[in-house]
Amino acid sequence: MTTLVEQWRIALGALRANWFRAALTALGVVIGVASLVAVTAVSSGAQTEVADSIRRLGGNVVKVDGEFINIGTGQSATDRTITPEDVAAIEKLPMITTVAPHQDIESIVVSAGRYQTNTWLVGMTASYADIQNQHALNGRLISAADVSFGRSLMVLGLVPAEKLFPGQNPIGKTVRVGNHEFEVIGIQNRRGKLADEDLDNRIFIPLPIITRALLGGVNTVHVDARVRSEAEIEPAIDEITTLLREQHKLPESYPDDFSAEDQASIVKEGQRATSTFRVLTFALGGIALLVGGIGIMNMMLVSVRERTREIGIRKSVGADPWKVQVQFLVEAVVLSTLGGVAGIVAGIGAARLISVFAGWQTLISVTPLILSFVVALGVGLFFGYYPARRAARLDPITALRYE
Amino acid sequence: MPEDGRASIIHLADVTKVHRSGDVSVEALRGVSFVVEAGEFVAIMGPSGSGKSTLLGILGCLDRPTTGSYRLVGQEMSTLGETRRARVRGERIGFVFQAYNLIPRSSSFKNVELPLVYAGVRMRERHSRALEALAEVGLSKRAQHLPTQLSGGEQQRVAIARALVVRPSVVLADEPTGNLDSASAAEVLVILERLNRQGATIVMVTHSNRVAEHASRILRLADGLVVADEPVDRSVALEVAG
Repeated sequence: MTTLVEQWRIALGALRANWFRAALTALGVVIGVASLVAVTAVSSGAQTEVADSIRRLGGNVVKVDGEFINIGTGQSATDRTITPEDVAAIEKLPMITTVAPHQDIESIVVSAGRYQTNTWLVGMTASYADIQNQHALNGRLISAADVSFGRSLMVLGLVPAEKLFPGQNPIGKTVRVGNHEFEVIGIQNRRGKLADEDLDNRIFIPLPIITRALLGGVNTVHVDARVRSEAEIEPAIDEITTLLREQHKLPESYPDDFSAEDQASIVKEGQRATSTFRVLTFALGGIALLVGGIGIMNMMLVSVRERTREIGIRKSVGADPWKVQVQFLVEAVVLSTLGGVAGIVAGIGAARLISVFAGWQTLISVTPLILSFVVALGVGLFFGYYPARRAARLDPITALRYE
Repeated sequence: MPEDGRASIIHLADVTKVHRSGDVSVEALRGVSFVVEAGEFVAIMGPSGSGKSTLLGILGCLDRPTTGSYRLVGQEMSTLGETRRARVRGERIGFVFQAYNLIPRSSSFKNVELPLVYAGVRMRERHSRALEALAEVGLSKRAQHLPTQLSGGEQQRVAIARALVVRPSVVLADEPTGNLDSASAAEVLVILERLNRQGATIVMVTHSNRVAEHASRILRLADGLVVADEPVDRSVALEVAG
C-alpha cells in the first residue's frame, strides 16, 4: 500500500517535471472524454424529452390526417378529407375507444386589441381534450356543450396567451379571428414539441365554428383515435387504412389519400435526425480517445527512453521489474485519468452550452461520468502497458551505461 | 564460509562470463575465483578490457555469470531470477558509481531514501535512517538540495549515503573518484576508509594505484583472469597519500 502511494507520488513528480508535454498529451483524452460526456448528456436529455412529450401527449393515439391543405391556394379544406361518416366508422372498430375529429388552420393571424400573432388554430371537440391529454392551466377547457351549441369560446396555448395578453390574465378577454370574436375561457397546460411543431403555439375553438362558419362544410382534415392498448396500435393503423380506402372507394392502384400514424412514433421520428449527429460525435469521441491513447503511449515511450538511466539506478537500488512496470503504468494512468477528469468537466460545460445555445434538453447523470472516468483509466492502462513493460525489461547494466 | 566458521561475504568459484552480440562472443571472464571476508576493503585493478566492469556487474547482481558459482553471504546468486536479484541488490548491496548516478529531479534526501522505499521500510523509519546516512557523510545540511545544486564531491557523498542506508553486506564502488578533483577524491576515500574501519566490507574497482592503496588488499585482473592477489602495506599507503 505504502508503495502504491509512493508510486503515485513519483508519477506526479515525473509529470510535473514535464507538465506542458503532459498536458498536451492528455488533450486527446480530454477531448475524447468531453465529447462522450456531452453526447451522453444530449442523448439522455433527448430521451427524457421524448418520454416527457409522450406522457404529456397521452399514449396510444393514432393520428389520421387527410391530404395536406394549404389555405390560400384556392383548394378547399373539404376537398378530399375525412367525413363524419369516416369518423363514425373508425369509432366502430373494436380496438378504438375514442375518436376526435379536428380541423386545423396551420397558420392564421389572430388579434386582441393592439396585439396580434400568427398561430395554429384547432377546431376541436371534447374528446380531443381527452385523447390529447389536454389540461387547463387556468380557467376551463372546451366542453361537449360548447361544441353542441357552437359557442364562440377559445382556449389559448401558452405562446399566443403571452403574445396577445402580455402580463395580463386573458380569461374573459376577447380574441378576434377574421370577423369572429371569441371569449377566452382557459389556458392550455404546457405541451412541448411534437417533432418540429411547437404544441404550445395553438388556439382551440369548438369544431362546428371552424367547419361551418370559417370554412363551410362538415368534413375535417384530421381525426385522432385512441387505441385500447399499445399492442393494438399497429393493427389499428392497418384497420383504419383498409376502412378509409373502402370509405373513399379508392381503386387498388391509387395511393392513400390520408395518412395514419402512431403519435408516439412521430415524437421518436423527430429525434432520429439528431441521433445521426449523436452517433457521429460519439465516433469522433472514440477516435479522439484512440489518438489520445496513442499520444500517451508515444510520450511514455519517449519518457522511458529519456529516463533509461534513471530506470537503471532504480533497479540498482532494489526496484524489481514489477515495481518499475507499476511506476510507469501509474504514470500513464495518472495522465489519462487527469485527462479524464478534465474531460468530464469540459463535457459538462459543453452540455450546458448546448442547452443554452441550441436549446436542446441535456441530462447529466452519474453513471456515464463514472463510465467515462473508467474509460480514461482503461486508455491509460492499455496504452501505458507496452512502454511500462519496456521499462521493466531493461537490462540494468545497459540502462546504467545509457547516456 | 559455514565450514570454517568465518562469514565470507563474497565467494566466487570459477566464474566465467561470455558476452554475445550477434555472431561475436567475447570471453570477458575466464574462470575467476576469490573470497572476500567480512570487513575487508578490496581494490580490483586491471587495464581496460580486463573484465573489471563485468566482474563488478556480477558481484552487484546486475548480471549473472555464464558458468561458475557466486555466493553472497552464503546464498547462491548465479541462478536467481531478476526479481530475486533486485531484492538482493536493494537489501545487501550498496553501489557507488563513477558518475554518481543520482536521480536528477530528487533531493539528496529522496535519493538516499529510495532503496528503503523499494525495500518496503516504513516512512518514519525511512526518514530517520536517510537523515542518519546523510549525517554520516557530512551532508545533513544538504538534505533538500537537488543533485544539480551540489558539487561533484557532494554528489558522490550523497551516493555513498544511499549505498549505506540499507546497511548492505558489501559496498561496491566503481571508480568512485574517477570524476572528482583531488580534494574531493581524498574526502570520498577518507569516508570509505572510515566506513571500512567501522566494519563495512568494500569492493572498489579502480585503475589508479594511489586510490587502490587505500584498500587493504588488491586483486589484479588481466584478460579475464585474476593475476595477482596481494595485501596492501598500510604504512606505505599512508606515506604515499601523505
